[in-house]
Amino acid sequence: MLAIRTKNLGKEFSRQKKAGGLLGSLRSLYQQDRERVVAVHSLDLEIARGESVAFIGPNGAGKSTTIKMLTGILHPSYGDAQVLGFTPWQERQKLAFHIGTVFGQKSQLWYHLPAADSFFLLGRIYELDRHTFQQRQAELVERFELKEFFHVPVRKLSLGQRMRAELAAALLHSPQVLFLDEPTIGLDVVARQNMRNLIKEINGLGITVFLTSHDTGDIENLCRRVIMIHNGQVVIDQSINSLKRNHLATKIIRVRLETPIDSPPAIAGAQVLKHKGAGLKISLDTTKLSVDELYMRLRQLAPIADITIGDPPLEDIIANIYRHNQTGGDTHELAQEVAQI
Amino acid sequence: MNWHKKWRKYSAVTLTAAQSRLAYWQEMGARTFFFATILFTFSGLWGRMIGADSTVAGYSQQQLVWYLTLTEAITLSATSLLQEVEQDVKTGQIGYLLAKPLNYLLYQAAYYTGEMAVAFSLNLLAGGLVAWALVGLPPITPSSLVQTLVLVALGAAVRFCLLAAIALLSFFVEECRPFYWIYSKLIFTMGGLFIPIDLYPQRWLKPCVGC
Repeated sequence: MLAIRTKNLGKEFSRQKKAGGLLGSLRSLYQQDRERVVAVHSLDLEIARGESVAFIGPNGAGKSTTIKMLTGILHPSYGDAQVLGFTPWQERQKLAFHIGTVFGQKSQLWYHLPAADSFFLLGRIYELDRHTFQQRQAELVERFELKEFFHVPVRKLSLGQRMRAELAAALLHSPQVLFLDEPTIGLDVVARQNMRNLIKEINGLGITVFLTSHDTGDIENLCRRVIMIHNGQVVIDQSINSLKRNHLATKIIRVRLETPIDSPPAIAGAQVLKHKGAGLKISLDTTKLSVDELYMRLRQLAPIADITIGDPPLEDIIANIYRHNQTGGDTHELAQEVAQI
Repeated sequence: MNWHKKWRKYSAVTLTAAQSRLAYWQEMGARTFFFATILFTFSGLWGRMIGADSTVAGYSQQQLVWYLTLTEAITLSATSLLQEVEQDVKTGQIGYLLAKPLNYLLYQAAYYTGEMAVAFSLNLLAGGLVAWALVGLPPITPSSLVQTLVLVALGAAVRFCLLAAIALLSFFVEECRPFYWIYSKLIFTMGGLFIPIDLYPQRWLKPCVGC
């Protein structure tokens, strides 16, 4: 059963161009140059109910435009989309009863009022009857630990407390799909971890999570699948594990030898990142040298006391893909490259 | 049933907006003080011009002061509708509202009603006390009170429609303040702030009365 399906979905804008300087400003008064911008280009997505998907891409890739089309805020220029069986831009209000949204940089809670007042208003907006509202509110207050600040004006809450309340507010009407846009932005380590645990818990209840974030920790911890778009097109759609395993053929290997060595070994395909006594940190290019071969070469230096083999951080992988796109990498080329993996 | 739910929904917006407006008590206090000051000034001005026992176009000083009290209580209850919509569009906050089962315009109308009800009540209370102290109570009858309330409600509704029309321009031009500037200056000169509308030349008023 699909929660979200898009077929050939696209959005184009027209925006004004203006030459710099005073002359450019004066010229723009009588002559307006406009350019066509393709925000989203032929987007095909299929997201099953209960999935947790990271929808990522560099700034200006088309993420927000896609979310706006999926929530019914924007009409597409062409194509089709169904969210829980509704066409978002035609049935916006009906769909709204079944989706929740949390935008990290914006707030749905009233700034000068306690969260309790915003919950009351949201209960009415989502047309919950008194009994359902009270029951649901009590559940959320307990699960999200809001009790101690539920009646304190939102302006006096810490960002972590506010975001917990925001997330709880988005769940008041028991949505089936949750759109999260940078839900942990600006949070400290503990608050971020709390938010991630709560989102995981929500997804565990069968709610589809559609997450947009630049924080790779969020992506890695919360999602099993990653969809990356660039210039409005999907360039990667695979599981986080496949992305880590396949996209960069690099392993980070930490070795501790039985005896110290004077200088780091020169091995083709293996770059020593750090050497101190008997300890080595090596970046291995597995297309040039296998882990087994490296192991054998290291064994020739000294017996190995300990070895750990790890993937490079997801952040490096994503940064590398973004860089590939920005430095002349062609979207189709990258998509083909990824498909071949 | 459907209407009942809608009523509950938008009345909750009105109630929440009223509560939120009360949180800005310092701003409200400053506005009330300003109101009392201009009422005091105009009362003195008209007292000198008209004199305690004479009239202008059939209006006594007392009637003019109470006229100003009522019209200014409405004017100074201005809500931030224009800025709200403009900011919603510019910052993308509108995304939050449109992703909810709401009609955006009805939401703004409910919000406006809540904010205005609080501000108008407080302004009328403060202004009424000043006017009472300066020129005494006007002759109030139940029918005149009802007529006044109906007129205030209609005036607020007309104002909402005009402001909403200007605010919705934000979707096309983003910056709608120039339009508001023209509107506010028109209201300032033509809307009866300086003198009651009845004092305008007859050839201006006749077409309106004819309507």
